[in-house]
Amino acid sequence: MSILAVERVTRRFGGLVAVNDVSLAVEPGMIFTVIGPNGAGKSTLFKVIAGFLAPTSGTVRFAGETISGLKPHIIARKGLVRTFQETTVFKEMTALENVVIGHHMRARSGDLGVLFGLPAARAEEARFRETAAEILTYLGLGHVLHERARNLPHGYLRALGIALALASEPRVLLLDEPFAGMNPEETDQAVRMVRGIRDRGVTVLLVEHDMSAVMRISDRILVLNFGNRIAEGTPAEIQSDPAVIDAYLGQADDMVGL
Amino acid sequence: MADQPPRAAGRTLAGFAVFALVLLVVVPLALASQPYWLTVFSNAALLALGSLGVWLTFSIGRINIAQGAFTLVGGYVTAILATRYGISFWVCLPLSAAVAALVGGLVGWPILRLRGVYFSMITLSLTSTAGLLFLNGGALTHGAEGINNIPRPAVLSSNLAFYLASAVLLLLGTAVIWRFAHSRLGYVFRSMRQNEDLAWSLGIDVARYRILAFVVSSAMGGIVGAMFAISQQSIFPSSYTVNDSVTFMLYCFLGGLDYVAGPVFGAFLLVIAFQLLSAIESYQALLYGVFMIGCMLLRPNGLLSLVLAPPGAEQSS
Ligand SMILES: Nc1ncnc2c1ncn2[C@@H]1O[C@H](COP(=O)(O)OP(=O)(O)OP(=O)(O)O)[C@@H](O)[C@H]1O
Ligand SMILES: [Mg+2]
Repeated sequence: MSILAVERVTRRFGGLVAVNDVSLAVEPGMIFTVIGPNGAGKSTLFKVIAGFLAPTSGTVRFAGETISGLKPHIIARKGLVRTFQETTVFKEMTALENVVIGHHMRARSGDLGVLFGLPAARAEEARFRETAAEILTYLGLGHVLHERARNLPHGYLRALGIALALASEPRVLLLDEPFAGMNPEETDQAVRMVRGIRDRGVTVLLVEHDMSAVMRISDRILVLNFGNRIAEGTPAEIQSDPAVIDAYLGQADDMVGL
Repeated sequence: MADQPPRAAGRTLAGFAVFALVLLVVVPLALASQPYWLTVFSNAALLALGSLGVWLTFSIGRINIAQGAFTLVGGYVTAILATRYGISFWVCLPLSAAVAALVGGLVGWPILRLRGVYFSMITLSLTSTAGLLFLNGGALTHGAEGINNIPRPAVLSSNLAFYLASAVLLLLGTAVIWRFAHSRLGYVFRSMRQNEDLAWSLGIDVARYRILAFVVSSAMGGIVGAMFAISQQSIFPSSYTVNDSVTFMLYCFLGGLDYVAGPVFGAFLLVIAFQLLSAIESYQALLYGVFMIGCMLLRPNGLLSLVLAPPGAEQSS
């Protein structure tokens, strides 16, 4: 059974159809990538999946259960967590504090326990800080645990955003352009990181412009153009698909990497 | 928080102990024979308590200019229960907090969806709305005449006793807010201030936590209102105006929004400064304004940033 199924989802903004009758199915353990030119509707699709936007029509199913219409924090608690294209971290907090927050939905102690510092809540908090430090070290941020996020370089912020989402132990992780603004070296590192996340058993749904990275990392690719699904397949199939080449025509060659 | 570096946690505890010692021992000893100044300090302690609540709403990223409305609610609850039904103040006090909290929850639920200046504008209007409601409360509130002869419990009849009660409430309030700020809840609140959408996406029920912050703030306003009601022994629709709500907020700004001690410091500083400046009363407002503007320009993070490191960025050692 697919872990995530998008069924005939349409999302309009007034007259504009940002996502038009799109379906997709993601199998567990996959890296599934959505590509498409600017404004194709990729982020909108992600927002619909994660519950930040309601679909105009269509449904989203997570592990067989309909989740469209639920609030984002409920969807997140079910195990579907999203990172953002724009801002991905809490800038005024340290890297460690950021990732501790990421643990929130795993917390079992109630607000009162936390407020009065009851032993169980304290123990939990200590555990969160430990695993937060572990995750950050795993992602290569072990040396900046107590640095405020705002002072970190761009590449680190992306990794921190992913660490934040990982802390919640998602079953499906939605990453919106995690490689944007990275140099090739940083991208290589990030690609390894995303693979590592998948190898930990997390299904990854990706939006990305960096074609060489997309082709290396993806198990399956869906192509959107003007909100329409124009192709879906393995990286090899997508690279030779005439409709895709058409859609990207006029874009810089290195953008497409075909 | 629990696993703060031990030294920082120790320092905080020491700071709190000193604060308690000053409030409960030094001030009473120094001012025992000066009832006027004891009243000034009682006022400062209660206003500080009210601003601590406002500070909590700041911590979730909402500028709350409604505290006057909740002091009014708390004051009227105590006034009505004590004068009409002869209920003991020790029952009225928690009921004032509870009713103010309930009103805070009901009002907060819709308005906390608003952010920034929109939220502030609405809260600004709440104080006058509350005043109007009590003005038109009929036999229950006696309109503009207000409610007089509110009984003061015998144990609190002396200025010293009233001051001590206010100081104890302030200490309790400070401890509660400090826990809010420095437990994982504080992380959650700060995360909501910095990026609400990201907080949602991490499974945080932002709507619930922002109501929690507002309800706690309102409850503290209710307690302050109840205490002032028995200290003045009367309450009117105009007992708290928009001005008072703004002042609660200014104490926070002055002391510093980054520190729990900020609103306490700000309230004591301004209340005491006001008394000292009263000799030159005609210039009071002017001096006050110049002082505030100067502080904002020179110390945008509040006066406490002169002596305290910014919070959040814990030392790694
Ligand atoms: N909240 C909104 N209100 C109105 N129009 C919107 C809104 N969000 C997105 N759009 C429009 O929907 C279309 C798809 O936008 P979307 O952000 O999903 O594209 P994208 O594929 O993520 O693009 P990019 O690669 O630039 O990130 C665009 O034309 C955009 O202007
Ligand atoms: Mg986008």
